[in-house]
Amino acid sequence: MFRSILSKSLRDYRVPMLAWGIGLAVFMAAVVATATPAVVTAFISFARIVSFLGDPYAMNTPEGYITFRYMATTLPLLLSIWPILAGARMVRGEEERGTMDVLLATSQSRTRLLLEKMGALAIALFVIAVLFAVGIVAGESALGGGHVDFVRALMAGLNLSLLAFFFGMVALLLSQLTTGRRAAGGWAGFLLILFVLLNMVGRVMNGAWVQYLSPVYYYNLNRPLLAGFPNQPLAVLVPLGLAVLCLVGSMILFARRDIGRSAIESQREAASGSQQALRSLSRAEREVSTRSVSLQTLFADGWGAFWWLIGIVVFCAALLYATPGFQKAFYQAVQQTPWLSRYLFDTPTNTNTAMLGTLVYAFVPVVVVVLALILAMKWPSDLENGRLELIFSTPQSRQRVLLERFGANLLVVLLAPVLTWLTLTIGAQIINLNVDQSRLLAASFAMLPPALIAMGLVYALSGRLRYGAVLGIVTAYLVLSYLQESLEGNIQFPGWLMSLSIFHLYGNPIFLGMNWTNFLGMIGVAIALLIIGLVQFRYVDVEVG
Amino acid sequence: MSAIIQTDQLTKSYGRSRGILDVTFDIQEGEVFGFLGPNGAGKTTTMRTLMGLLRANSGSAKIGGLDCWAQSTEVKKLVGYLPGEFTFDPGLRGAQIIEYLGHLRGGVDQTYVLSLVERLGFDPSKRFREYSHGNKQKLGLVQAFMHKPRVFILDEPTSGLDPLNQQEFSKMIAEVRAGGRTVFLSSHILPEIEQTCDRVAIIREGGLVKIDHVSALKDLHQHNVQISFADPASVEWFKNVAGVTGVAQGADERTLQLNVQGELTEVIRIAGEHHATNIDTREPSLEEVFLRFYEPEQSPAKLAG
Repeated sequence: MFRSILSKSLRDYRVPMLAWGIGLAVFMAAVVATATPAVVTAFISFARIVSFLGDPYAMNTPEGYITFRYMATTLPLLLSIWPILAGARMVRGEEERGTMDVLLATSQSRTRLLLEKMGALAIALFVIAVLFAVGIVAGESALGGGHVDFVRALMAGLNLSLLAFFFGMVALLLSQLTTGRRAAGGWAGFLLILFVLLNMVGRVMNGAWVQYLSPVYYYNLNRPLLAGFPNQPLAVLVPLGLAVLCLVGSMILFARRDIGRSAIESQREAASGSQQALRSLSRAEREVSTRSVSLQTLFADGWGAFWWLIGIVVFCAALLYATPGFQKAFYQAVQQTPWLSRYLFDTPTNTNTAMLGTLVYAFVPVVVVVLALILAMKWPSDLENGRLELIFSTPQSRQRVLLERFGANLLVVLLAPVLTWLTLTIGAQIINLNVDQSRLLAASFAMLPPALIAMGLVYALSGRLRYGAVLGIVTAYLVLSYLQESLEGNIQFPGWLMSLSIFHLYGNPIFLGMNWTNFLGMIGVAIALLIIGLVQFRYVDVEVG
Repeated sequence: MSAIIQTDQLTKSYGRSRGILDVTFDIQEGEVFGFLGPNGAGKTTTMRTLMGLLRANSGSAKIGGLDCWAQSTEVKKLVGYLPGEFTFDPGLRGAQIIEYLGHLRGGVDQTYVLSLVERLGFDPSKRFREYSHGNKQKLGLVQAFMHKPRVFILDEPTSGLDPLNQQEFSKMIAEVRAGGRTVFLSSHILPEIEQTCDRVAIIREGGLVKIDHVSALKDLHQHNVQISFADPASVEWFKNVAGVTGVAQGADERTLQLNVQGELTEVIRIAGEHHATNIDTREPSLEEVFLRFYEPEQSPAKLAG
């Protein structure tokens, strides 16, 4: 496995590749196996309400249902997360760790190094596509067969992987322009949300030109799972061509720039002397960020989280703006569907709130949990990389450092529900849309406890486990939680099992109001996890490397 | 003088891999104490255990009478620490890191920080990722010295420094000693140990093998002896002589090479009996003394403090 950069990179990718691939296969197998005629038919009336998710085609078939509900928006969004992280750290991660110098000291050219690393990512995504197809076929056989064969499932997987690869290449290109992988990952994540949003807005506004700007639109022009769908094979050239462009741009920039610096960073003059030193020290003395661990963490996290928060605000604002456009259709759908009518109380205000809830609160809680996970994972990462060695040489107790880090993470995560609530409340006032304020408030702040549990888990596990193990366990838990909640309508899970899913416990506060038992229970669990983390960390060695 | 750093039977193991075993020593206040040993011998493990970063399996470690694990926060108020290898948020500038650590420690005089920065020729305006190894080491030294601690624990402090800065570092250590403060440092640079340290401990394979004054280590009465005889000589003449740790045939059959520990009286007497024509003795350099302790096949008796 250490014969070439390609094989070494593949080795590095083996855990995420198998985790995503097998996770996706299990998910698809479960989704397909449970796409019974009853489930498919029940979804048809609901599909009108969530029309932003996909374009309806052959909705009375399992493959139509799966394509609409999962393939059009949800899976492109989910599967692009890992390639973005991998693309951002492909070379920038090596530079940050200082291993790039050693790699480039060998006879490998920069271009070849980049191409081999890119090749490993492409192979990993191909494997994920194959596993995805295997999952569909397995689900197919459980469902009864006759709907989708392996070739069509593989085509659908490759279409999905190609889009994810494009986002990975975007992150790679951005990592040439930034000086840190986090900034590149943040920007690429922002573009992912933006492109998904542009595609959604295009759908909702019925052919708005903005959707043509989104590669997600071109991805959706091919739906290999659907027999008889007028596919446009040439559309794959758009994400593929853009990915190649990003790759070529990255190669050019990487070949010419200094290692450890951004391609667009201006060459600073080699300044020194006591005046320069005095200026730098005086400037640092005035900075608030250097006053404590919590402030330093807050400022360090702030920039990365800034784009996430902006993304959430833009997402909420765009969907709010789009709401009046299909308010009438939504209201009619509610009136014509007895169970929905009963559920939403059939009043315009409740319908508006429910519509916003369906549009916004189906996604934002997941985004907030992922944000919380990313922020919290910096703790085991810093521990493992020895970045806390000097901090622990100061007279700050371990518990205090941990609590300050957790507190700073919490403050940043808290901004997400606050901003979601403010955007929707103020936005609704501006466009004169009646919404139920108390439910908006409940749905926004109920996002906090699941995020706190994700953070608490990371801190509890970091005492004993290394970064990779913590990431694997927490990600697996979150994926399973999401899977459980997502399949709740299709599979009857026992009550105790459902109560382990944070997304299930989040519930439907936009429809049903705040569930204080779940809210306080989850806060209690998060506090317990934090205490476990504190106690564990009190007694463990601070390992390095 | 009283002992400010004390370890007693300090043991730390990492599962199956070796850490340190029964390490016992005292360092007096105002002393500069050197710690020598090959890579992986246990120097860093000892220092990190003293800093409360590792929890000892058994034994105790105290600084200023405070337990290094149970009272580590109090201990750190006394200590300036330079890790053997350290990293920091790559996006932070040197000045920000100094300021940040200064706030976490408290009691940092900015004028003194500036004087340290100037002395070491350190540019604090760059980001951490832009610093070379040597400049990271300078940053490490600035942060270890800036709060004028009572005790310094420095893991290979001159690693990566150019000769001028190594010289500056020696001056800083001399000033610290003159001020009655204590330094515990590890190093591989023997002349530096000779110049800066009062006492030295040698650690090998996790155990202390020798603690003594630097001058005493050089004067262990170990001799390399070459004896020339009028007739062909035999190694058997000296094989069982007390103090002779090695004997071999020299450049020709009339010459023998001996390693002798202690007095030479018996060797000279036997050489005289066999009509020696010339005896040449040479004391080993400090480096040879250290190398002798480093050699893995030897197992010298472990010494306690």
